Amino acid sequence: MKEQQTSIMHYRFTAYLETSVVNKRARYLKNKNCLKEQEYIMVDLLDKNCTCFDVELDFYIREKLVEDLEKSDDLLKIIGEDRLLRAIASLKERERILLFGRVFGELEFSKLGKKLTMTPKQAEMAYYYVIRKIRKKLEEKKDEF
Amino acid sequence: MSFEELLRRAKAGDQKAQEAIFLLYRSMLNKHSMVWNVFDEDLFQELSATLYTCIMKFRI
Repeated sequence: MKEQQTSIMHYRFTAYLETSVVNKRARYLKNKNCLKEQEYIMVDLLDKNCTCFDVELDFYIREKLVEDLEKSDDLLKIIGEDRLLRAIASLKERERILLFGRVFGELEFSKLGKKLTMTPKQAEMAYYYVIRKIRKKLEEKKDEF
Repeated sequence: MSFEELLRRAKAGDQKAQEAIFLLYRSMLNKHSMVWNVFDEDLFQELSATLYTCIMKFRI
């Protein structure tokens, strides 16, 4: 009889504990998720409050360029770097349009090719030729120092 | 020792009895401490505290 009572108490305690544990777990997970959400909100707020000047400049340059690729002289003023500026200034007008169209305008070679009356493959080759040319000029300037 | 006796002692503050009950229910606490198949130690600690509270609050 006593054994039966003990086992009943054991079951009762187990059931009591199980319920408490399940409730506690649910509350813990809810709190944890709330905290995580708060963290995400804080990060979002921080992102919105700060101004990233690199991104702003990038937007500005893109807007300027997409408007009119022919106005590449204006862009030379935007790019601050002196050596790079000189290297780009020494390029031909055609090469400049190709370079800016690809780098800032993010145009495909097929579109650039149409603009400059070339095949896409030719435009691609010309683009890499321009890049090599600029790199060579930059390295020359480095050697001078 | 019967479970009732163990519980009474644990309620009275006997550390060995409390430990025995903890060992008895540890597997259950482990099971409930798994979150997305990962063992959450903080949750395990919280549940261990709950076990202690249950021992103290349970009416015999």
